Amino acid sequence: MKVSFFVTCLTDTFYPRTAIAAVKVLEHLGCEVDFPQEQTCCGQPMYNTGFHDDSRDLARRMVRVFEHSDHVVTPSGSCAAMIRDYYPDLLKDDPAYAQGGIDLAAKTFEFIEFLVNVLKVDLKAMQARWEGQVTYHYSCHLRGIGVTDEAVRVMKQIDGLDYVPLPKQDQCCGFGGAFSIKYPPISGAMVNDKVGCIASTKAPIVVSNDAGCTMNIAGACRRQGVAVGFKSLPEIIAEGLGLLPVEQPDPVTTPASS
Amino acid sequence: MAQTPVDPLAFTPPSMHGEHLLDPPLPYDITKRASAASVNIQLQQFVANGTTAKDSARKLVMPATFGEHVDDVRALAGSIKQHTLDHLDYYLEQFIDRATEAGVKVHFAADSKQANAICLEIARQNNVKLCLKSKSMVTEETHLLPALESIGVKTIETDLGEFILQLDNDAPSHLVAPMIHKDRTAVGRAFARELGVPYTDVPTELTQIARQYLRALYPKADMGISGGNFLVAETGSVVICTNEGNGRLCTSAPRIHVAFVGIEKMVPTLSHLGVLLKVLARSSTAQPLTCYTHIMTGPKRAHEHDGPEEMHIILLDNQRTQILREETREMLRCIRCGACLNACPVYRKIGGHAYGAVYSGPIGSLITPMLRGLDNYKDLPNASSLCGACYEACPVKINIPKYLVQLRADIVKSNLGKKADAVFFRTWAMTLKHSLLYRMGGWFQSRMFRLQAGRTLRKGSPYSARGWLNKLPGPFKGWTDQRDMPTPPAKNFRHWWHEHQKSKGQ
Amino acid sequence: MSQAQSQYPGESRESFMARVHEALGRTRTEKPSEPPPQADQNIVRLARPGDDLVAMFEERAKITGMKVIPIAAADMTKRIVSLLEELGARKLVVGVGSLPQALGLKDSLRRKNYEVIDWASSPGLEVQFEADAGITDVHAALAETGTLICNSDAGHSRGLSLVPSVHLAIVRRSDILPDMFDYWARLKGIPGSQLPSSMAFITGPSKTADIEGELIKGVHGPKDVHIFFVQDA
Repeated sequence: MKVSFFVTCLTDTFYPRTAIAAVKVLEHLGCEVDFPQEQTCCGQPMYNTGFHDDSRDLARRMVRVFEHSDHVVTPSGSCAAMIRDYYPDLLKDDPAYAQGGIDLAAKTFEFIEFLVNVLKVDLKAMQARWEGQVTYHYSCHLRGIGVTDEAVRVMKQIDGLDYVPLPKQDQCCGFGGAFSIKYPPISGAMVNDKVGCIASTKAPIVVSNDAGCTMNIAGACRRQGVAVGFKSLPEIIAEGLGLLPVEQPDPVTTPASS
Repeated sequence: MAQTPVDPLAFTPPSMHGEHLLDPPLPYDITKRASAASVNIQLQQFVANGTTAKDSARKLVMPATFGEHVDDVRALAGSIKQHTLDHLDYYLEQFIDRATEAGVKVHFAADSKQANAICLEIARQNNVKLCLKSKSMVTEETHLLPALESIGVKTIETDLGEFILQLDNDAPSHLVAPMIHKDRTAVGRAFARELGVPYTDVPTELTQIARQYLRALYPKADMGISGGNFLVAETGSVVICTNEGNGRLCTSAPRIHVAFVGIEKMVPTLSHLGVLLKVLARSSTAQPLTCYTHIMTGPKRAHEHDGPEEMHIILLDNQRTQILREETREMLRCIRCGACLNACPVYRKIGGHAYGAVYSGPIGSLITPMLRGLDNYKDLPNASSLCGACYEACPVKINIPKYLVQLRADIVKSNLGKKADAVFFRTWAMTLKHSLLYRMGGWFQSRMFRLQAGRTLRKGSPYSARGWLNKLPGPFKGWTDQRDMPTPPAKNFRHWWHEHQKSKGQ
Repeated sequence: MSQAQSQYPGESRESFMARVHEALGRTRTEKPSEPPPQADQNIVRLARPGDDLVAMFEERAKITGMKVIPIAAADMTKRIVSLLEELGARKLVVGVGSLPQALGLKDSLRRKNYEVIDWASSPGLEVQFEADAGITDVHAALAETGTLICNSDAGHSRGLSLVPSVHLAIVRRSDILPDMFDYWARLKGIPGSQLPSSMAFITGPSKTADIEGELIKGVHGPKDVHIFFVQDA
């Protein structure tokens, strides 16, 4: 199976290990992975803030970059949602790109969704093993692409993983892109609620897959003094299959301040 | 100094109507109220608990009722409303004719002012002294109460929550649970002050006091006012869905009934009404139906014994025909169930008054700018993380996030947004259109972050060890006001990919 | 159909409709080219003729907080009187049709010295406020939601099931319809002008949760609803 990897701007810069893990897992599962170098951004920040001409240009660019791909897989749920939910509409009035938008939307998947619903992975059968007690934050934009409990199902397939459900798991963490910068008191109240839920689980590790969510929640945990570590599910799977060395979860405290 | 309770028939409600809450100075800036709300522990507790409970209940009841067909049922309900809106001319005409045949006097109000004027004229013509109201957001929209009072018509809210708000110069903050923000001691104080009853804050006792007062008034009222959850075109009926009984009483006891209804409430037939009834209460409060569904078709018939002698329906436009245009029509599907308010993580934190308008929450963020001007309410479409919980909750499948973004695009197109935003996002977009510029920008940004991170930089894998910032400059300080900022690791994915390809001999 | 000069303020029908036409991209009203979506579909029907409608009605009525008392027709007066004694109710308003009338319910109650207020000769519903309890039968009942359908007509006023603090509802087995779609089917073809001016679907006693979310019964309408469920009629 041929897969083109769409790393996304935030993951590329801030959480590259998540992307590395995803690629290693895909290759391990027999996918031929390529990485079209010209890729930049799906245009979601511009779309969400109302700069639709610019986001349309970026959508066209994405259509071109992934024109020859069979499948496009991305570790970011919100970028997958941007492409699947909004590209067809965004490009519908451009005869040169209307079909391209529809085609790209049809072949784009979020990474965990791809593992579960397309590759139909069975980590139990693959004897994945990873020790740790984790809780899981459900990123909002997975709603838009119809992804519900795929991540939890995957975690339950991993031997040694102790999964603790997060209260109000699917309540938005308050990132929302520009929203978190423009409406600090509202965004702050929302992320603090999320931090409270995390603290109540007493789990030492938070699994969060969307880079935006992770930056937001991790930053808030650090500010609140809630000492947890963050890990993405692609990393857990890669480590669990022995494709990456097991690493301490990304802590919110540093040696100097812990 | 012992108080004597005011005689219900002599009782006069206060003349302030919480206008400062739902009618703030325009253009409205959400910051002050949102900030205050986010640190108001009582508000957080009441609003968060109330909404979370209803949201969770809805999530259980809908699949328990409709099994695997929940989505199809919502799609059906949505398509019924959409069809009706797409042909609203036809169904409105049908409704007007059928209602008129049933003895209703149908009125046409282009805007709030006209709607109120019609109601005032009905009151004048009939020498109305006492008017009782059941809950209606449309009458909040038109500011009916002060208008009636200006011609000397004593008007009293009968919905328990609205009655309490009326006594306390307060205003509704939720479509369905109007006093979700209010605590029992405030109610007790308001009752003691306005009704002269001994102070109590026990809800059953407070309810009993209200029951006594309001039931004494029904037989004496000259006019009853209601809203309308639905208009049925085929029969010319108005339908109200309530729980307390005041809706049925207001529309049955007084000699005159006036219903204020927005034109978007139309459905084609009783059968179609049925589909919407099946999802309304379940989405709103997880009840199968509200305690009372009252289907009213004209004034009392000659052979009937009670009911109004005269029934008026005031059909209200007030910018709804603007929303009816194709690009925003879907917003009018709303059946005012409040499910989106209950699902919304923003509403949960700031409550309804922070929106500064009659219609709050996600649907309010769409229709308030449409009804009252985008330039007046720019914050509303923007104060959302676009999480989509509202879309998931909506029983008629209004794609609220899509329209929030559409309004944001309208703000940009009309140059109503901040100039700095336009510069920032357009410049950023430019760098994203050229992969070299993008990579250079990313590299530079990474270096700057890591420089600033200083001593917080952790040693470890170049692809995961990072540092932290607790202050971001200028326009980005909103982030660090609330949380720290993780900085990028030393190397990015592209670097790894390059190495990875080399190791594969490519 | 243009209206004569109205004595009320407000717009004319024509100018009101003109804005609707404009928004829809038309100049005049057009009949829809496609019919509305079919409402009565399997996915929304919640009760079918073959279901155990009696059990369903009973269960769902109880969940809403109404009490269900199964009785035999012959015991109707006896059972009602027994409840009235328990409640200490003396003044009654009664609006019943066929079966209870045939059983002479009203006369029996009068003979037992209950004051049965003659609401029909007093217009409006003011006099109904004097009653301790209202006794009605129903026009139909829905198994789907445990709902009572009480309409206004010559023998039934709106207030009977609304004004007194206690509502006694007589429901025959034969009154029960599976789903509300079955009720709409009964009304099909009846023009609005010939429908009752008031049709009330009652699904529970009067309730509120306005004050801090605390559920309280008996706000304006009845605090208690007792359903006498006649099994053999």
